[in-house]
Amino acid sequence: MAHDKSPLKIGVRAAISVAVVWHLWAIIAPPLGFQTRGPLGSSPSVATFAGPVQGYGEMLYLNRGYAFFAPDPGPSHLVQASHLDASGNRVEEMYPDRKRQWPRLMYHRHFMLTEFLHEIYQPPGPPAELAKEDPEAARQWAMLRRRYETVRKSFTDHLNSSTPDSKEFAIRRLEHRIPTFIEIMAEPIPLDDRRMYGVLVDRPVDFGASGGPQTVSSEVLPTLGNPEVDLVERKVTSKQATESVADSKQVDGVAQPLPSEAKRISDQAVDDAGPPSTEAVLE
Amino acid sequence: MRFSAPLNEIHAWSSHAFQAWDRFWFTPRSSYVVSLLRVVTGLFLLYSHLVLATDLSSFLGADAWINPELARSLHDGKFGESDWGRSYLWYIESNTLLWLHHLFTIAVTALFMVGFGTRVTAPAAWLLQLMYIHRMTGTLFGFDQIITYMMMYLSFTPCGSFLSVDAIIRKRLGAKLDSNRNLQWLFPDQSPRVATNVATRLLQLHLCVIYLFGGLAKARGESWWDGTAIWYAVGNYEYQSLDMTWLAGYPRVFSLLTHITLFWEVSYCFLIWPKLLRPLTLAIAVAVHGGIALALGMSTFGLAMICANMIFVDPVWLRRLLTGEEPLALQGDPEDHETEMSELADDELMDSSLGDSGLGDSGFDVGSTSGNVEFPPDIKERIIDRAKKVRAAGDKIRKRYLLLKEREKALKLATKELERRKRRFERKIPKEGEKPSDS
Repeated sequence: MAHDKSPLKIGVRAAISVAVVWHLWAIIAPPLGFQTRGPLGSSPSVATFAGPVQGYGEMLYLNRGYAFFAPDPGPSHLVQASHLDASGNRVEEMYPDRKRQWPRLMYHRHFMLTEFLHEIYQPPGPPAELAKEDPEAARQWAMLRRRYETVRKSFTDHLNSSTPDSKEFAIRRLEHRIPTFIEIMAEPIPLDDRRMYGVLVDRPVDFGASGGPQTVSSEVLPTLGNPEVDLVERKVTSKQATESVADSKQVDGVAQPLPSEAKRISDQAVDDAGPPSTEAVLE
Repeated sequence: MRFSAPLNEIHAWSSHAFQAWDRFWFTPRSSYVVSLLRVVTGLFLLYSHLVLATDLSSFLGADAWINPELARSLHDGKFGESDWGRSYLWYIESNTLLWLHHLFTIAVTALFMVGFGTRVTAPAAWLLQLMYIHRMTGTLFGFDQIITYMMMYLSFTPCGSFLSVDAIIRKRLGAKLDSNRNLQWLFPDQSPRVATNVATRLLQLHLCVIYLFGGLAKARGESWWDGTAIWYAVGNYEYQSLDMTWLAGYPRVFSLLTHITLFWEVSYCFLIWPKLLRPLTLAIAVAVHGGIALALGMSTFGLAMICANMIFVDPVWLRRLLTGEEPLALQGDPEDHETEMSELADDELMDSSLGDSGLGDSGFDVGSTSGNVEFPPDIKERIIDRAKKVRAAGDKIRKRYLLLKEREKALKLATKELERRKRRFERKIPKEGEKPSDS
């Protein structure tokens, strides 16, 4: 027997109960699906469980995993943009930048954008072997790569439009490593020390001695030099920049890998380039 | 016949479960907490829209970081599976139109915050927020999630009945409301409602899911077990808003904070229900999210999570805190009854979650009303003995009460009689200089 305090009739309560169960199902299914996803894909039983409420969850933005700072708090991923200003000087900017993006919420939105670009990153490819052995996986690879390229192009287009006098925008991804507490105790360096930054080079996955396609995309800045060279401000002739851009083949409006840059990048192996000091550029 | 005992047991159990479900979801609840949540959620959402206005075209314009066509492609299946996230903002590229839309959104959100026409502005502000959410893919984080969820649940409650313009209008309308049901719905009073309870319960359970899976996700990481996770969180330059690198010299401190955070998060969904542990669980929530707000540069997210946790606060207690009104204890305040019912429902939820694991207080379902639960004979005897004593004590109290009532009656009569005699006596005594009456 129902308790006497509810003013609702049993039929109404039954209808609300059905809606409540449906909604709770939609709340639980997405994080469960997120946690039960492995290298082989989603757990079949959980995928079946989540299926009926998937659309409802997506519509109401319930399709989240809630994995804040999980499984481990890791390094940050940033974007370094480079362009030629009106006088032909190469200018570099870092995103996010708390000095230029204010208030903090605005800075954080920029930070999430650069993390998003890293999250959806897919190396160039697919490798020829994969295309032969598993055409479906190769198709998936190509699609994810296209998504990454499209997002990256949208970023560059935005930068192009926001500074009309500038041209030849290019961006690259950086990783900002967090020192261990042992490192900090041994040598108390600031968290934004140059040594903590590394360039994430856009290159194909290494498939051993036989090698995959040795190409890199136009993501790498045209003038990227020795890691030890000061990256704060470098002058590039318009000719150099134009050559670099002309090298990139445009297919479906998306920048494709630049064969001419492949060897140079693999030789340079830029892993600890250090960040530019954007304030200096802006000043 | 031999199946009747288990069938009875199943029937008793299902009857008990049905009552518990009914009490948990359908006990009317006052809207003081949801009204206060309306104010803070409205403030957060308004702040978010105002911040967005400082660089609107970069996030929503034709040349935004994620341009409108790309935003649509990320949902419509061009890059994988299609999802149901939809937004008309994908199709708006005109800056003027975007600005008009954004100003409208700000106005609706501000009205929601101050509690004006809340029955309309609450769902409107929530739907507008969903449109922004599906347009701004790639720029969102925990703050957007919790704000959107709070908006969703508040939209179904009379959250404009307290601390609102609607409450002022309701007072001014006075008697006009009595005859107009539409006005009554539009300007709700503060009486407890089932809708408020359903929304409250859903947000409470949603928070439990968020913390449970947040904790489980952390439990997969090594740093949350070896105690270094908090160091890596505070040592992240991009998040940092307060220099906490001095913590490097105190590994015992940051590892302890790491372990507390992990265990608290995983066990939140169990610890938040018992009345005894709730203040402690909420205090840790304030500490964890306060730390995120202060040190990790996410003041909006940290504060929004603290506010979301307010959903576990007793509405009657909150009203007393805000208005200073004391309960009418001798008359049996109906709101005290509401608190009792709510606590009973919480206890039942806790019992059901611990029941199977044998972690309940006694291991027995002492709350069962079925009468079919089999206790061991010695305990059965003790229960019967105790029941007899309780009944005897109850009888004694009842007799004493009746006796007291009779005495009270007699005392009243005696007082009346005394007063009557006093008046007669006063009439008989002549005042100074007066002649005594003949009588």
